[in-house]
Amino acid sequence: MNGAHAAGAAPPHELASASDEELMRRVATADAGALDLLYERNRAMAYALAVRITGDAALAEDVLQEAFLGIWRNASRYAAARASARTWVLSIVHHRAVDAVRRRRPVSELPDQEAPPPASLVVPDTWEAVAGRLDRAAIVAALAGLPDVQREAIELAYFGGLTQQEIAARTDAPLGTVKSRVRLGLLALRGAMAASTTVEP
Amino acid sequence: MTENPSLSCDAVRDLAPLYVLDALEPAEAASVREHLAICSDGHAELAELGGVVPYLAESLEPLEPPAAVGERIAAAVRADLRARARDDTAAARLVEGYGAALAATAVTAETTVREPATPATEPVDLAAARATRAARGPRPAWRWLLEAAAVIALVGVVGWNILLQGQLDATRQQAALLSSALATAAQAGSVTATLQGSGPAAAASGFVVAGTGGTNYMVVSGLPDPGAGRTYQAWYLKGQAAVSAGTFTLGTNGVTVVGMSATAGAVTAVALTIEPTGGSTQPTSQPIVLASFTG
Repeated sequence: MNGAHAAGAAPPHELASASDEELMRRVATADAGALDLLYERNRAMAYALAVRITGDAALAEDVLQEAFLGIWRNASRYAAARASARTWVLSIVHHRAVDAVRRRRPVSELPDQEAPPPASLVVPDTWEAVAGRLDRAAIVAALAGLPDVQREAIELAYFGGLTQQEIAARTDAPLGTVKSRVRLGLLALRGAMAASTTVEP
Repeated sequence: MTENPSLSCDAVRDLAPLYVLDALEPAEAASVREHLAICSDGHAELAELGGVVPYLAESLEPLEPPAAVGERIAAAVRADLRARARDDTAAARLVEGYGAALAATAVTAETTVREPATPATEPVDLAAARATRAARGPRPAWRWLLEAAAVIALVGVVGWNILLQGQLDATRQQAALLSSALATAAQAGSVTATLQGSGPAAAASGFVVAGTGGTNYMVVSGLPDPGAGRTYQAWYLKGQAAVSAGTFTLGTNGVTVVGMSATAGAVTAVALTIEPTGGSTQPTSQPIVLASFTG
């Protein structure tokens, strides 16, 4: 430890009990320990997402590194995002991974500034309310319960990094059909998850 | 990005499902953001659809990354911290040194060059200086220097305080620009004008330095965040005409230093407006900060 990060640093034992949102606020004050912990808590899901999107473990590692350095540099922007910290983190990982896949260029060439956050970041979401008591099996089941064409369109968009035009070409469907499949699929997922989470206290 | 600057609300609703999945072409996504930045409709469908997105990520089986990734991130963050500390120290010394020197200069000038008839005022009371200027007729040349020195001292002290608060993320570029701005202001033949904020930028203050070289500088603090999808843009005003002096983002330490390429012709003022990201060819809104060179 040197004086450089004394300003915003908190003792590790205080950080351990902090929420992800509190960690993010500390990261914004240049607290490196808070970023370490934020990474530790979210790395497995972030890596899973990056690997799923890029299909390339080495590229996914680069994505993860660039994403968390982006979070380090831009944590002060999180305050305006009004989303849970985990959602914000995963959205940045998602954005970086999709960018890496779409542009097929080294992630280190990505802009220093984070792109404006995707829409899911600038709207309140339900994550806070359900985090920790979400059953992964319930999500997988809800996805599996979607009509095939809706699930395919959503997965091509979110995990495939395809644009709506590319999805239309890939699935041989008109653009309007792609949009309505995604819309209906997302709304059905929302309904299914709302039903599965309201049974818990 | 500017090819479709004004999406309708219906078009945004149409694009919403793919927008929340980050599956629009970059230009399409930018158009949506531009619309959201100015739209009064809440676009509740974005919350409705976007709230589902976290479920998609969480449907995956967690996967531990190699330990080396975490080590690389931790090392890069520490290296960044050390670089920031170096920048902060250098910038603090720079601003502190200039601030102290110029404060001394301002006090000396104020006490030795003051016109006999001028009532005693605070050295940095620019409003009073400006108010009495018109009544007194053409201002003496040294007044520029005095005002510049006083403003620089004021801004320097403000900047220094912010530095001391440990909230500063001063980049090397900002420190270098600040050094250039102050050096230019101290050169013979340079002209300095104070910035006046209004409206949402009423708290803004700072100054513009027009030197004899190819670059002019603006040092400004107290600007509000321009908002999502918006940027600050500086303009040279030449009578009724406005020429862009470029867009800029706010410094993270509360003080922003901007280098602006000099422009041909007589500049009557420098103005700031808030424009859509990427900037505009002509101002699309009223200036919220103005620095007049015509007194």
